[in-house]
Amino acid sequence: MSGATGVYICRGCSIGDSLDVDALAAVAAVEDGVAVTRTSAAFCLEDAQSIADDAAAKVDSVVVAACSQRVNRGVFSFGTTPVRRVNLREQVAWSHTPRVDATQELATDLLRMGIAAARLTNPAVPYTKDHLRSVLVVGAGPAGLGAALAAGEAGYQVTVVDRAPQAGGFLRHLHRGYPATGEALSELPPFDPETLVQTVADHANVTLLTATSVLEVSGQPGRFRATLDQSGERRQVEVGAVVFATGFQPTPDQLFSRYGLGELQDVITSVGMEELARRGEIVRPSTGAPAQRVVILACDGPADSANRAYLGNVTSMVALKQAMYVHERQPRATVHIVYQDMQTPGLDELYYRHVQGQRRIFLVRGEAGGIRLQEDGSLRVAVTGSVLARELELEADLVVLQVGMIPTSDPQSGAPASLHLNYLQGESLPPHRAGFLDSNFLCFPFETRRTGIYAAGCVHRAQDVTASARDGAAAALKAVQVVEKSAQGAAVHPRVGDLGYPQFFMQKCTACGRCTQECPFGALELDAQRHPVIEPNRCRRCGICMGACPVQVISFPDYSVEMLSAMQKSVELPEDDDKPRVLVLACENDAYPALDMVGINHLQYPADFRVVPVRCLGSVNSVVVADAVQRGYDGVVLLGCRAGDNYQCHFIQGSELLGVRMDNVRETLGRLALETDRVRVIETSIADARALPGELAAFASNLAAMGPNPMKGF
Amino acid sequence: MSQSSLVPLPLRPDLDFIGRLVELAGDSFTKCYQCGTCSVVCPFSFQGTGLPRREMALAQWGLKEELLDSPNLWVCTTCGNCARVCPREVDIPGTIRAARELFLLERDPSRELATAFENTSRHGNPLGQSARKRADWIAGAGVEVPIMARVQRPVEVLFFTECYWSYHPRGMEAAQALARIMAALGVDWAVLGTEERCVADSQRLAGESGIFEEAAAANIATLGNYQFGRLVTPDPHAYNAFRNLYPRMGGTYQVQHYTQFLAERLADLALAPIPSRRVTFHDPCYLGRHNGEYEAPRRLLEAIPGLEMIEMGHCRANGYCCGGGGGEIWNSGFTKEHVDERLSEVRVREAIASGADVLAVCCPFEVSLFEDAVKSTGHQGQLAVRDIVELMDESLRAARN
Repeated sequence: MSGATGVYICRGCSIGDSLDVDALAAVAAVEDGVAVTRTSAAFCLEDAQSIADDAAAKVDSVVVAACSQRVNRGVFSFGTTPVRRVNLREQVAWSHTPRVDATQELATDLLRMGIAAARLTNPAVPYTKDHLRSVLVVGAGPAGLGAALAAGEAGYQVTVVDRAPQAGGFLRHLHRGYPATGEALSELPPFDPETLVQTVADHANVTLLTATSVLEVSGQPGRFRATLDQSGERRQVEVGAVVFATGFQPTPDQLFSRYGLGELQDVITSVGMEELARRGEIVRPSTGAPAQRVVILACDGPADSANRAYLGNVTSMVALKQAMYVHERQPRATVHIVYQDMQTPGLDELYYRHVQGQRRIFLVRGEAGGIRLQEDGSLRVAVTGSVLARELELEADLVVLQVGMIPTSDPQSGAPASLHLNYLQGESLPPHRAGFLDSNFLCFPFETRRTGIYAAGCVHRAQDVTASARDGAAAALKAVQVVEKSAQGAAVHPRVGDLGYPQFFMQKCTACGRCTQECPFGALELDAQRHPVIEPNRCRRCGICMGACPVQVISFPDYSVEMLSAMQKSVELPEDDDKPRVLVLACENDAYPALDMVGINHLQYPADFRVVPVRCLGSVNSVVVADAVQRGYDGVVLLGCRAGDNYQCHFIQGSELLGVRMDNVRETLGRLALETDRVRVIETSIADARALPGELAAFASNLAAMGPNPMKGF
Repeated sequence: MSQSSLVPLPLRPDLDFIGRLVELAGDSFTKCYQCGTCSVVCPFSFQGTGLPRREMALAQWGLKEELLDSPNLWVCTTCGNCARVCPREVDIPGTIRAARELFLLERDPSRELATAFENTSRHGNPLGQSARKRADWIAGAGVEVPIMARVQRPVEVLFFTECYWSYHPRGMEAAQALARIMAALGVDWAVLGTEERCVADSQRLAGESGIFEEAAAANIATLGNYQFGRLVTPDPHAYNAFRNLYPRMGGTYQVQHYTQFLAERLADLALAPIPSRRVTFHDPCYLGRHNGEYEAPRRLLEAIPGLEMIEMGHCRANGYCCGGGGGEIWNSGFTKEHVDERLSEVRVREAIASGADVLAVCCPFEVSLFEDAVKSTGHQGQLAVRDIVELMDESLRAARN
């Protein structure tokens, strides 16, 4: 626990015009443990050094009452001295009426809350034991090989394994690629799996093991232990991080029975087309003669059983490329591509136009129906739903069906590829959408829900060879990052650099195991007595375990239930009817920035709200809310991110877990005979900031209708 | 359609046909991705025949007979709203025009269209009037209208009257109004008189590029005999040809539509109030969308005291078509067989709904088309159709009185 606290109140950015800063300084000076109180016209411009000097000599923790904690982080950072920010700018001066009692009271409460929090902030002791500079890459296709090369080039020792006897993955099934951005449109770039595999195998830092599968992975970032099986022989490797790149499987042939696949000889899949092209002429399987009329079905309609989410940009381009296979070999052959949804994002559009420009390649937007075999051995393909509003018919010697790509990580694929994790929460990597491994495509790509294990290639998202190789390299850099952070004992995304990790006060633990179940990242294991044990480098520091614990034994050095309680208790609760007080527990990832955005736009909301930033709504223990209501707060707002399928939570399920915990809170409210509407969850995001003042004002007026909390003053 | 639409249509591309279309119209139609955005903004969208996305698909797939059989091919006015919105920038009007040209190599056009073509070839105007009467309108102008062949010196402005202002009774009135305005401005100008021949841009759009080229050669030769500062015409179709096609054939002029010419001289005109009326303006497709001039006509209308300007929903770049472009002015019987409503009637209803008393126009086809539509939709007395030049003339006369 810290001893002396220094409090630094800024007048800049109109704080001084809005508030009586001297009065605030006088309040701070008499708070417990405050040794120094200073004010400045603008700490960031001139006086940051005075804080640094104090931090070096006089004080153990620092409270900066100025701008939002989201800005000027570097300016207000003083070595290892804990810093607590009190937001007098965005959330007071810029969003409330200047120079009135209500605004001054708001600032006073926030200042006291900050000082209380600083008192309960302890320096972190980082966990720095495990930091092996090595990577295990699972899967030696384009993505895995790309990852191996990138990590090897970064100076890391790489073990890349593939269960197949030959490395190269699906690349070995492909004839050619399609032009990438900037390449000549008229040439289909060749693949050279041999050279690629050789380059990786020859790399001084890379060990390539084929015919090798993964039996088990245990441990944590910095030191994972993997048990491998190489042709029946067991091997152990220890690595700092893992890249998972096991690729995709084509959709099974049964899904194409409506097109006669397997029954009609001249109906083949796009995989079969690659095979044909590799051998030379595009011939009819039934006769061996070159096909003169080729129909390519994109199989991309909503009703098509082979259609799968998020892969159109690959299969569309493959359909266009395969039309060119025919065109290059048999210039007099005609090709019709029947499609419903051509997806050629970005500069791929140029290739789409290029193929359309070929005089004997035709694109027909419509839905392919059945395929009939004619007496002369040719095929007839029916097409409906075209712009001609009548059924069309295509004559074909060869029909090519574009197959979908099923990520090998998809649990619905039967036997998903697995690392067989020796984790309490189970051996598989939890999939996100459509079987892909990712926790959020936009905000933190490559991150699976197991820290230190990164998805690359077609388990990450559907992508082509070029993109997979690039994806592998990017995932490898994430793997390097997590090891380097482990060396510092620091967290990775989103609390990059955070050194503290959860501590358990074991004497009071009831071994209920809830924390081990709710951790979104599987960071907690159980010991022999069924008590939780943390693997610190798996932890993302969200605090969801802290919110889960029914006996509140989990805390961080600088974040705890005790701290949140002390903050809410340092707010004065006046008994006047016209001064309601609302505690706002605001998620620092999206909700707190949204409140800042309100201030930046100089929008106003009532001065009744006392905002406590929390790491995630999932870290809010229901005790904090229950205590606040019991103490006499008129209302509590839990301001967080969107839950559900399109969740925005940086920790996957924090918002969702909160929903469950709210039941406890409602129970407390019921017991106290209080209205359940006094506690509300508001989902927001930085983009919704403009609507936020209205929502807060509506909540306040709802409370006014209910009258003050009768528990006030007890 | 010749075949029953219940029988599946075989897609057997006629590669030669595609090649000839590409020669005439470029290959932009091969890049169509069948989204149908064009058919949403087509003035004939109410008919639900899929114009022009159907025709673009037929062209793209090389289905020659189906394309040549399609009545849509001869309903289209080439107004160009489709091309404005096409995400693939397909030259839809150009492709329709090319398909018409290929049609005419093998098949006969409608009787009325054939007559217009024949009249243009024989008399130099599609109305079948005598070439000798081309300058007869001058007599009723009330001011002197110099004839180029007689003035024997360079003039500032050569006014290319075109056929409808030369022969059509309502067009002649407009031409006479313009002559009075030119006199009031003291412009040094002249007309070609009987030496003038139809520019025939609409005949070109109807597929008859032969007639157009012949007429262009004759006009370029005639114009080459004289010296003039600029060429001014009341016909947006002629304006289009002078601006975009004549230069490729050796005739480069400084050309203006009459609204552009007058808009530059508004300060020199003493316009007096006319009885107050609410006026709305119909953008001609070949002045607006095809050549980008939306402001000049509006500036003229706004300068006339007494007029209150109202815009219709379809205006400027999204302006509706009068139904007369692309040769359709001579093909109304055919179109009537295939389309339930005339575009001029739809447009008149829109003008009525806007609350206007006057529908102002500045294309010679439009006065008669819209006046007929006012009658056929039962709005006689509710909406006057006036060329902008007539409104200006009225305002100038009010100033003199």
